[in-house]
Amino acid sequence: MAKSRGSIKHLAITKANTQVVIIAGVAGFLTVVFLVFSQALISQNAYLSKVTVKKEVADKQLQENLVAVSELTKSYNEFQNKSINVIGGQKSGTAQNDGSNPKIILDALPSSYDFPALTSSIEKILTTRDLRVDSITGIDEEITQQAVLSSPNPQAIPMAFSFKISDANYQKIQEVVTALTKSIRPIQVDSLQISGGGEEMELEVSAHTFFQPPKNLNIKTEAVQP
Amino acid sequence: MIQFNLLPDVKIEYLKAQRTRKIITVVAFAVTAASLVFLVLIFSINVYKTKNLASLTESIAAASKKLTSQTDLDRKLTVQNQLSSITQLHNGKPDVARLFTFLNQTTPIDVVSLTNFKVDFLTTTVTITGTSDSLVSVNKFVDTLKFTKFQVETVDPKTEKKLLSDPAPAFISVVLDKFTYTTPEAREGQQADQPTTYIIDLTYDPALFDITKIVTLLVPTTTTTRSALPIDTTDLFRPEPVTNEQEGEF
Repeated sequence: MAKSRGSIKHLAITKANTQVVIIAGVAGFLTVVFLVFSQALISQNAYLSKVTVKKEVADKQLQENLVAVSELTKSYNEFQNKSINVIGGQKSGTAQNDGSNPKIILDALPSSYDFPALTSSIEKILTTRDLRVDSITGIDEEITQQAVLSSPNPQAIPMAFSFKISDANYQKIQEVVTALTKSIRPIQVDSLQISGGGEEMELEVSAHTFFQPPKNLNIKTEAVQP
Repeated sequence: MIQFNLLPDVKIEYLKAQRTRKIITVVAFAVTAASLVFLVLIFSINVYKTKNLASLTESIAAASKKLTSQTDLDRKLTVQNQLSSITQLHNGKPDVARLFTFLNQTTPIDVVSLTNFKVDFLTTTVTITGTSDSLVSVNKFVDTLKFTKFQVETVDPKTEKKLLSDPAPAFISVVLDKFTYTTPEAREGQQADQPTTYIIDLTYDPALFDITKIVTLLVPTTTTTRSALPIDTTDLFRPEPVTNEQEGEF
Protein backbone atom coordinates (compact mmCIF):
# COMPACT_ATOMS: atom_id res chain seq x y z
CA MET A 1 0.00 0.00 0.00
CA ALA A 2 2.80 2.36 1.02
CA LYS A 3 4.71 1.40 -2.10
CA SER A 4 1.75 2.14 -4.33
CA ARG A 5 1.25 5.53 -2.60
CA GLY A 6 4.92 6.25 -3.21
CA SER A 7 4.56 5.30 -6.85
CA ILE A 8 1.63 7.64 -7.28
CA LYS A 9 3.71 10.47 -5.89
CA HIS A 10 6.58 9.55 -8.19
CA LEU A 11 4.23 9.50 -11.13
CA ALA A 12 2.88 12.90 -10.14
CA ILE A 13 6.44 14.23 -9.89
CA THR A 14 7.32 12.83 -13.27
CA LYS A 15 4.14 14.26 -14.71
CA ALA A 16 4.92 17.65 -13.21
CA ASN A 17 8.44 17.60 -14.60
CA THR A 18 7.12 16.58 -18.00
CA GLN A 19 4.61 19.41 -17.87
CA VAL A 20 7.43 21.82 -16.98
CA VAL A 21 9.37 20.68 -20.00
CA ILE A 22 6.32 20.94 -22.27
CA ILE A 23 5.31 24.35 -20.92
CA ALA A 24 8.87 25.68 -21.19
CA GLY A 25 9.20 24.23 -24.66
CA VAL A 26 5.92 25.62 -25.94
CA ALA A 27 6.55 28.98 -24.28
CA GLY A 28 10.05 29.10 -25.70
CA PHE A 29 8.83 28.18 -29.15
CA LEU A 30 6.05 30.75 -29.06
CA THR A 31 8.39 33.44 -27.75
CA VAL A 32 10.90 32.75 -30.48
CA VAL A 33 8.16 32.80 -33.12
CA PHE A 34 6.75 36.07 -31.77
CA LEU A 35 10.18 37.64 -31.60
CA VAL A 36 11.01 36.56 -35.15
CA PHE A 37 7.74 38.03 -36.37
CA SER A 38 8.40 41.15 -34.32
CA GLN A 39 11.83 41.54 -35.84
CA ALA A 40 10.39 41.22 -39.34
CA LEU A 41 7.75 43.79 -38.49
CA ILE A 42 10.37 46.12 -36.99
CA SER A 43 12.36 45.96 -40.24
CA GLN A 44 9.21 46.62 -42.20
CA ASN A 45 8.36 49.50 -39.88
CA ALA A 46 11.78 51.04 -40.40
CA TYR A 47 11.28 50.92 -44.16
CA LEU A 48 7.75 52.28 -43.83
CA SER A 49 9.16 55.13 -41.74
CA LYS A 50 11.67 55.99 -44.46
CA VAL A 51 8.97 55.90 -47.12
CA THR A 52 6.65 57.94 -44.92
CA VAL A 53 9.29 60.64 -44.40
CA LYS A 54 9.89 60.85 -48.15
CA LYS A 55 6.20 60.90 -48.90
CA GLU A 56 5.56 63.56 -46.28
CA VAL A 57 8.24 65.73 -47.89
CA ALA A 58 6.74 65.11 -51.32
CA ASP A 59 3.23 65.82 -50.08
CA LYS A 60 4.35 69.03 -48.35
CA GLN A 61 6.13 70.13 -51.51
CA LEU A 62 3.07 69.38 -53.61
CA GLN A 63 0.80 71.30 -51.26
CA GLU A 64 3.21 74.26 -51.38
CA ASN A 65 3.30 73.94 -55.16
CA LEU A 66 -0.48 74.02 -55.31
CA VAL A 67 -0.51 77.26 -53.32
CA ALA A 68 2.29 78.64 -55.51
CA VAL A 69 0.47 77.64 -58.69
CA SER A 70 -2.64 79.36 -57.44
CA GLU A 71 -0.67 82.54 -56.81
CA LEU A 72 1.18 82.17 -60.10
CA THR A 73 -2.07 81.80 -62.02
CA LYS A 74 -3.49 84.88 -60.32
CA SER A 75 -0.36 86.93 -61.06
CA TYR A 76 -0.14 85.60 -64.61
CA ASN A 77 -3.74 86.53 -65.34
CA GLU A 78 -3.19 90.02 -63.94
CA PHE A 79 0.01 90.35 -65.96
CA GLN A 80 -1.67 89.07 -69.11
CA ASN A 81 -4.78 91.19 -68.81
CA LYS A 82 -3.04 94.55 -68.38
CA SER A 83 -4.31 96.84 -71.12
CA ILE A 84 -0.93 98.60 -71.43
CA ASN A 85 1.96 96.21 -71.77
CA VAL A 86 5.42 96.45 -70.21
CA ILE A 87 6.83 98.39 -73.17
CA GLY A 88 3.94 100.83 -73.30
CA GLY A 89 1.99 99.23 -76.13
CA GLN A 90 -1.63 98.13 -76.25
CA LYS A 91 -2.50 94.61 -75.19
CA SER A 92 -4.72 93.93 -78.17
CA GLY A 93 -3.19 96.22 -80.78
CA THR A 94 -1.20 95.30 -83.85
CA ALA A 95 1.50 97.99 -83.77
CA GLN A 96 5.16 97.21 -83.20
CA ASN A 97 4.99 97.57 -79.41
CA ASP A 98 1.57 95.96 -79.03
CA GLY A 99 0.78 92.54 -77.65
CA SER A 100 0.06 90.91 -74.34
CA ASN A 101 2.76 90.94 -71.70
CA PRO A 102 3.51 87.19 -71.91
CA LYS A 103 3.95 87.56 -75.67
CA ILE A 104 6.32 90.50 -75.16
CA ILE A 105 8.35 88.47 -72.66
CA LEU A 106 8.55 85.47 -74.97
CA ASP A 107 9.56 87.76 -77.84
CA ALA A 108 12.29 89.24 -75.66
CA LEU A 109 13.57 85.90 -74.46
CA PRO A 110 12.18 83.19 -76.74
CA SER A 111 11.72 79.71 -75.41
CA SER A 112 12.90 78.11 -78.63
CA TYR A 113 15.92 78.54 -80.85
CA ASP A 114 14.95 80.52 -83.93
CA PHE A 115 17.95 82.00 -85.70
CA PRO A 116 16.06 83.15 -88.82
CA ALA A 117 13.68 85.11 -86.57
CA LEU A 118 16.65 86.75 -84.87
CA THR A 119 18.23 87.80 -88.17
CA SER A 120 14.85 89.17 -89.29
CA SER A 121 14.64 91.24 -86.10
CA ILE A 122 18.14 92.61 -86.63
CA GLU A 123 17.42 93.35 -90.27
CA LYS A 124 14.26 95.17 -89.22
CA ILE A 125 16.20 97.34 -86.75
CA LEU A 126 18.66 98.25 -89.51
CA THR A 127 16.39 98.67 -92.51
CA THR A 128 13.82 100.82 -90.71
CA ARG A 129 16.63 103.37 -90.40
CA ASP A 130 17.35 103.29 -94.13
CA LEU A 131 20.76 101.79 -93.63
CA ARG A 132 22.66 99.77 -96.16
CA VAL A 133 23.11 96.33 -94.66
CA ASP A 134 26.27 94.70 -95.99
CA SER A 135 25.88 91.52 -94.01
CA ILE A 136 24.13 89.82 -91.15
CA THR A 137 25.96 86.67 -90.22
CA GLY A 138 25.87 83.93 -87.67
CA ILE A 139 25.75 80.19 -87.43
CA ASP A 140 22.33 78.64 -87.40
CA GLU A 141 22.56 75.90 -84.78
CA GLU A 142 19.00 74.74 -85.20
CA ILE A 143 19.88 71.04 -85.19
CA THR A 144 22.15 71.26 -82.15
CA GLN A 145 19.76 73.42 -80.19
CA GLN A 146 16.75 71.24 -80.99
CA ALA A 147 18.23 68.77 -78.52
CA VAL A 148 17.80 71.34 -75.74
CA LEU A 149 14.45 70.34 -74.36
CA SER A 150 12.33 71.85 -71.65
CA SER A 151 13.53 71.27 -68.12
CA PRO A 152 12.59 72.24 -64.57
CA ASN A 153 15.52 74.66 -64.40
CA PRO A 154 16.43 75.96 -67.86
CA GLN A 155 19.29 78.40 -68.42
CA ALA A 156 19.67 81.13 -71.04
CA ILE A 157 21.66 79.99 -74.07
CA PRO A 158 23.55 82.58 -76.17
CA MET A 159 22.97 83.03 -79.90
CA ALA A 160 25.87 84.83 -81.56
CA PHE A 161 25.48 87.03 -84.60
CA SER A 162 27.23 89.90 -86.31
CA PHE A 163 26.32 92.53 -88.84
CA LYS A 164 27.92 95.22 -90.92
CA ILE A 165 26.37 98.36 -92.28
CA SER A 166 27.84 100.97 -94.59
CA ASP A 167 27.01 104.33 -96.13
CA ALA A 168 25.82 105.60 -92.79
CA ASN A 169 26.53 108.80 -90.96
CA TYR A 170 27.50 109.24 -87.33
CA GLN A 171 23.93 109.98 -86.24
CA LYS A 172 22.55 106.85 -87.89
CA ILE A 173 25.25 104.77 -86.26
CA GLN A 174 24.33 106.21 -82.89
CA GLU A 175 20.68 105.41 -83.56
CA VAL A 176 21.49 101.78 -84.41
CA VAL A 177 23.65 101.27 -81.35
CA THR A 178 21.03 102.91 -79.13
CA ALA A 179 18.35 100.70 -80.69
CA LEU A 180 20.40 97.62 -79.88
CA THR A 181 20.82 98.79 -76.29
CA LYS A 182 17.13 99.56 -75.88
CA SER A 183 15.86 96.42 -77.59
CA ILE A 184 13.55 94.27 -75.47
CA ARG A 185 15.77 91.36 -76.42
CA PRO A 186 18.87 91.41 -74.22
CA ILE A 187 21.53 92.02 -76.87
CA GLN A 188 25.05 91.94 -75.49
CA VAL A 189 27.48 93.63 -77.85
CA ASP A 190 30.79 91.77 -77.79
CA SER A 191 32.70 94.09 -80.07
CA LEU A 192 31.98 97.13 -82.17
CA GLN A 193 33.94 98.88 -84.88
CA ILE A 194 33.18 102.25 -86.41
CA SER A 195 35.18 103.43 -89.38
CA GLY A 196 35.09 105.96 -92.19
CA GLY A 197 33.66 109.42 -92.05
CA GLY A 198 30.92 111.72 -93.25
CA GLU A 199 28.12 109.85 -95.02
CA GLU A 200 30.29 106.84 -95.71
CA MET A 201 30.76 105.44 -92.29
CA GLU A 202 30.75 101.72 -91.55
CA LEU A 203 29.67 99.91 -88.45
CA GLU A 204 30.55 96.33 -87.62
CA VAL A 205 29.00 94.72 -84.58
CA SER A 206 29.54 91.28 -83.06
CA ALA A 207 26.96 90.50 -80.45
CA HIS A 208 24.90 87.77 -78.90
CA THR A 209 21.42 87.49 -77.61
CA PHE A 210 19.72 84.62 -75.85
CA PHE A 211 16.97 82.08 -75.86
CA GLN A 212 15.90 80.10 -72.84
CA PRO A 213 14.22 76.69 -73.17
CA PRO A 214 10.77 76.37 -71.64
CA LYS A 215 10.33 75.50 -68.02
CA ASN A 216 8.07 72.60 -67.17
CA LEU A 217 6.56 70.95 -64.15
CA ASN A 218 8.54 67.85 -63.39
CA ILE A 219 6.80 65.36 -61.14
CA LYS A 220 9.16 62.45 -60.73
CA THR A 221 8.97 59.21 -58.82
CA GLU A 222 11.76 58.02 -56.62
CA ALA A 223 12.40 54.48 -55.30
CA VAL A 224 13.18 54.32 -51.60
CA GLN A 225 15.77 51.68 -50.92
CA PRO A 226 15.08 49.44 -47.87
CA MET B 1 14.02 22.88 20.36
CA ILE B 2 14.43 20.01 18.00
CA GLN B 3 12.14 19.96 14.91
CA PHE B 4 11.39 16.83 13.00
CA ASN B 5 10.47 16.78 9.41
CA LEU B 6 7.88 14.11 9.34
CA LEU B 7 7.18 14.50 5.57
CA PRO B 8 8.57 11.71 3.55
CA ASP B 9 11.18 12.54 0.86
CA VAL B 10 8.82 11.71 -1.94
CA LYS B 11 6.27 14.17 -0.59
CA ILE B 12 8.93 16.88 -0.43
CA GLU B 13 10.03 16.08 -3.92
CA TYR B 14 6.42 16.14 -5.06
CA LEU B 15 5.79 19.55 -3.51
CA LYS B 16 9.02 20.88 -5.01
CA ALA B 17 7.99 19.61 -8.46
CA GLN B 18 4.58 21.21 -8.09
CA ARG B 19 6.14 24.53 -7.08
CA THR B 20 8.65 24.42 -9.93
CA ARG B 21 5.85 23.68 -12.38
CA LYS B 22 3.87 26.65 -11.10
CA ILE B 23 6.86 28.98 -11.34
CA ILE B 24 7.80 27.78 -14.80
CA THR B 25 4.18 28.05 -15.93
CA VAL B 26 3.88 31.60 -14.64
CA VAL B 27 7.23 32.67 -16.08
CA ALA B 28 6.56 30.95 -19.41
CA PHE B 29 3.15 32.52 -19.62
CA ALA B 30 4.53 35.93 -18.73
CA VAL B 31 7.34 35.76 -21.28
CA THR B 32 5.05 34.44 -24.01
CA ALA B 33 2.42 37.04 -23.19
CA ALA B 34 5.02 39.82 -23.18
CA SER B 35 6.40 38.78 -26.56
CA LEU B 36 2.85 38.47 -27.89
CA VAL B 37 2.00 41.95 -26.62
CA PHE B 38 5.19 43.24 -28.19
CA LEU B 39 4.29 41.57 -31.46
CA VAL B 40 0.77 43.00 -31.35
CA LEU B 41 2.18 46.44 -30.56
CA ILE B 42 4.61 46.34 -33.45
CA PHE B 43 1.89 45.00 -35.72
CA SER B 44 -0.43 47.84 -34.64
CA ILE B 45 2.26 50.40 -35.42
CA ASN B 46 2.77 48.71 -38.75
CA VAL B 47 -0.92 48.87 -39.55
CA TYR B 48 -1.05 52.53 -38.54
CA LYS B 49 1.95 53.37 -40.68
CA THR B 50 0.57 51.48 -43.65
CA LYS B 51 -2.70 53.37 -43.35
CA ASN B 52 -0.84 56.66 -42.98
CA LEU B 53 1.23 55.81 -46.02
CA ALA B 54 -1.87 54.96 -48.01
CA SER B 55 -3.35 58.29 -47.00
CA LEU B 56 -0.18 60.12 -48.05
CA THR B 57 -0.09 58.26 -51.36
CA GLU B 58 -3.67 59.28 -51.97
CA SER B 59 -2.93 62.90 -51.08
CA ILE B 60 0.14 62.95 -53.35
CA ALA B 61 -1.80 61.43 -56.23
CA ALA B 62 -4.60 63.97 -55.80
CA ALA B 63 -2.19 66.92 -55.60
CA SER B 64 -0.22 65.65 -58.60
CA LYS B 65 -3.39 65.27 -60.60
CA LYS B 66 -4.50 68.76 -59.61
CA LEU B 67 -1.14 70.21 -60.60
CA THR B 68 -0.91 68.44 -63.94
CA SER B 69 -4.47 69.37 -64.80
CA GLN B 70 -3.68 73.10 -64.54
CA THR B 71 -4.18 74.72 -67.90
CA ASP B 72 -1.12 76.31 -69.50
CA LEU B 73 0.97 75.67 -66.42
CA ASP B 74 4.14 75.11 -68.44
CA ARG B 75 3.57 78.37 -70.32
CA LYS B 76 3.03 80.24 -67.05
CA LEU B 77 6.17 78.70 -65.57
CA THR B 78 8.11 79.54 -68.72
CA VAL B 79 6.98 83.17 -68.75
CA GLN B 80 7.78 83.47 -65.04
CA ASN B 81 11.22 81.98 -65.59
CA GLN B 82 11.95 84.15 -68.64
CA LEU B 83 10.89 87.21 -66.64
CA SER B 84 13.30 86.41 -63.84
CA SER B 85 16.14 85.80 -66.30
CA ILE B 86 15.52 88.74 -68.59
CA THR B 87 16.31 91.42 -66.01
CA GLN B 88 19.53 89.66 -65.16
CA LEU B 89 20.46 89.39 -68.84
CA HIS B 90 19.67 93.04 -69.50
CA ASN B 91 21.71 94.04 -66.45
CA GLY B 92 24.63 91.98 -67.72
CA LYS B 93 24.93 93.74 -71.07
CA PRO B 94 27.17 96.76 -71.57
CA ASP B 95 25.45 100.10 -72.14
CA VAL B 96 27.03 100.58 -75.55
CA ALA B 97 25.16 103.82 -76.24
CA ARG B 98 27.33 105.58 -73.64
CA LEU B 99 30.20 105.19 -76.04
CA PHE B 100 29.16 108.22 -78.08
CA THR B 101 28.88 110.44 -75.01
CA PHE B 102 32.33 109.33 -73.88
CA LEU B 103 33.78 109.91 -77.34
CA ASN B 104 32.36 113.42 -77.51
CA GLN B 105 33.67 114.19 -74.04
CA THR B 106 37.22 112.94 -74.53
CA THR B 107 38.08 113.69 -78.15
CA PRO B 108 39.57 117.17 -78.71
CA ILE B 109 37.57 119.26 -81.15
CA ASP B 110 38.90 119.93 -84.67
CA VAL B 111 42.50 118.94 -84.04
CA VAL B 112 41.91 115.20 -83.63
CA SER B 113 39.74 112.98 -85.81
CA LEU B 114 38.93 109.30 -85.61
CA THR B 115 39.14 107.08 -88.66
CA ASN B 116 38.57 103.77 -86.95
CA PHE B 117 37.28 103.02 -83.50
CA LYS B 118 37.16 99.48 -82.22
CA VAL B 119 35.94 98.44 -78.81
CA ASP B 120 35.96 94.92 -77.46
CA PHE B 121 33.54 94.62 -74.55
CA LEU B 122 34.73 91.15 -73.67
CA THR B 123 38.35 92.16 -73.09
CA THR B 124 37.47 95.81 -72.21
CA THR B 125 39.96 97.10 -74.75
CA VAL B 126 39.69 99.92 -77.25
CA THR B 127 41.76 100.66 -80.32
CA ILE B 128 41.49 104.20 -81.69
CA THR B 129 42.92 105.02 -85.07
CA GLY B 130 42.79 108.55 -86.42
CA THR B 131 44.45 111.62 -87.75
CA SER B 132 45.54 114.83 -86.13
CA ASP B 133 46.99 118.20 -86.97
CA SER B 134 50.13 117.46 -85.00
CA LEU B 135 51.83 115.03 -82.71
CA VAL B 136 51.26 117.53 -79.92
CA SER B 137 47.51 117.16 -80.35
CA VAL B 138 47.82 113.37 -80.34
CA ASN B 139 49.86 113.64 -77.18
CA LYS B 140 47.19 115.85 -75.62
CA PHE B 141 44.51 113.40 -76.67
CA VAL B 142 46.43 110.54 -75.06
CA ASP B 143 46.96 112.58 -71.92
CA THR B 144 43.30 113.54 -71.79
CA LEU B 145 42.41 109.86 -71.89
CA LYS B 146 45.01 109.05 -69.26
CA PHE B 147 43.81 111.65 -66.82
CA THR B 148 40.11 111.11 -67.37
CA LYS B 149 38.42 109.79 -64.28
CA PHE B 150 34.92 108.63 -63.58
CA GLN B 151 32.49 108.64 -60.71
CA VAL B 152 29.63 106.27 -60.05
CA GLU B 153 26.42 107.84 -58.83
CA THR B 154 24.40 106.00 -56.23
CA VAL B 155 21.39 106.91 -54.16
CA ASP B 156 21.45 106.50 -50.40
CA PRO B 157 18.41 104.31 -49.65
CA LYS B 158 17.85 106.03 -46.30
CA THR B 159 18.25 109.69 -47.14
CA GLU B 160 17.60 109.29 -50.88
CA LYS B 161 20.51 111.64 -51.50
CA LYS B 162 22.74 111.20 -54.50
CA LEU B 163 26.18 109.92 -53.59
CA LEU B 164 29.23 109.99 -55.80
CA SER B 165 32.04 107.50 -55.52
CA ASP B 166 35.65 108.61 -55.34
CA PRO B 167 37.04 109.47 -58.78
CA ALA B 168 38.87 106.54 -60.35
CA PRO B 169 40.84 106.36 -63.60
CA ALA B 170 38.46 105.63 -66.48
CA PHE B 171 41.12 104.12 -68.69
CA ILE B 172 43.51 101.79 -66.97
CA SER B 173 46.22 101.74 -69.62
CA VAL B 174 46.51 104.15 -72.50
CA VAL B 175 49.27 103.41 -74.99
CA LEU B 176 50.11 105.38 -78.11
CA ASP B 177 50.75 102.26 -80.10
CA LYS B 178 51.82 103.89 -83.36
CA PHE B 179 52.03 107.31 -84.95
CA THR B 180 53.07 108.67 -88.32
CA TYR B 181 53.99 112.20 -89.18
CA THR B 182 54.04 113.13 -92.84
CA THR B 183 56.35 115.98 -93.81
CA PRO B 184 54.87 118.92 -95.78
CA GLU B 185 56.78 117.76 -98.88
CA ALA B 186 55.09 114.39 -98.82
CA ARG B 187 51.58 115.62 -98.13
CA GLU B 188 50.45 115.75 -101.72
CA GLY B 189 47.03 114.20 -102.00
CA GLN B 190 46.66 114.01 -98.25
CA GLN B 191 44.69 116.13 -95.83
CA ALA B 192 46.90 119.13 -95.30
CA ASP B 193 45.41 120.01 -91.94
CA GLN B 194 45.83 116.58 -90.36
CA PRO B 195 49.14 115.10 -91.44
CA THR B 196 49.59 112.93 -88.38
CA THR B 197 48.09 109.49 -87.97
CA TYR B 198 48.01 107.58 -84.74
CA ILE B 199 46.85 104.35 -83.13
CA ILE B 200 45.97 104.37 -79.44
CA ASP B 201 45.30 101.22 -77.44
CA LEU B 202 43.61 101.43 -74.10
CA THR B 203 41.87 99.35 -71.51
CA TYR B 204 38.84 100.82 -69.83
CA ASP B 205 37.29 100.21 -66.44
CA PRO B 206 34.34 97.81 -66.95
CA ALA B 207 32.20 100.04 -64.71
CA LEU B 208 32.12 102.65 -67.50
CA PHE B 209 29.65 100.59 -69.50
CA ASP B 210 27.91 98.89 -66.58
CA ILE B 211 24.24 99.41 -67.36
CA THR B 212 23.29 99.16 -63.70
CA LYS B 213 25.47 102.15 -62.76
CA ILE B 214 25.16 105.84 -63.49
CA VAL B 215 28.62 106.93 -64.58
CA THR B 216 29.97 110.44 -64.98
CA LEU B 217 33.25 111.08 -66.76
CA LEU B 218 35.56 113.69 -65.28
CA VAL B 219 37.54 114.88 -68.28
CA PRO B 220 40.40 117.25 -67.44
CA THR B 221 39.36 120.79 -68.36
CA THR B 222 42.91 122.06 -68.69
CA THR B 223 45.01 120.26 -71.23
CA THR B 224 47.48 118.14 -69.43
CA THR B 225 50.53 116.88 -71.19
CA ARG B 226 53.08 114.31 -70.31
CA SER B 227 55.52 117.11 -69.65
CA ALA B 228 53.49 117.94 -66.59
CA LEU B 229 54.33 114.56 -65.15
CA PRO B 230 57.24 114.26 -62.73
CA ILE B 231 58.74 111.44 -64.76
CA ASP B 232 61.17 111.32 -67.66
CA THR B 233 59.11 111.20 -70.86
CA THR B 234 61.86 111.59 -73.39
CA ASP B 235 61.20 108.09 -74.71
CA LEU B 236 57.60 108.84 -75.64
CA PHE B 237 58.41 109.48 -79.30
CA ARG B 238 61.04 107.51 -81.02
CA PRO B 239 61.80 108.94 -84.48
CA GLU B 240 62.84 106.51 -87.13
CA PRO B 241 65.18 107.27 -89.97
CA VAL B 242 62.54 107.76 -92.66
CA THR B 243 63.16 110.21 -95.48
CA ASN B 244 59.70 111.70 -95.86
CA GLU B 245 57.87 110.19 -92.94
CA GLN B 246 58.62 110.05 -89.29
CA GLU B 247 57.22 107.04 -87.57
CA GLY B 248 57.24 105.83 -84.05
CA GLU B 249 56.10 102.68 -82.37
CA PHE B 250 55.80 101.60 -78.78
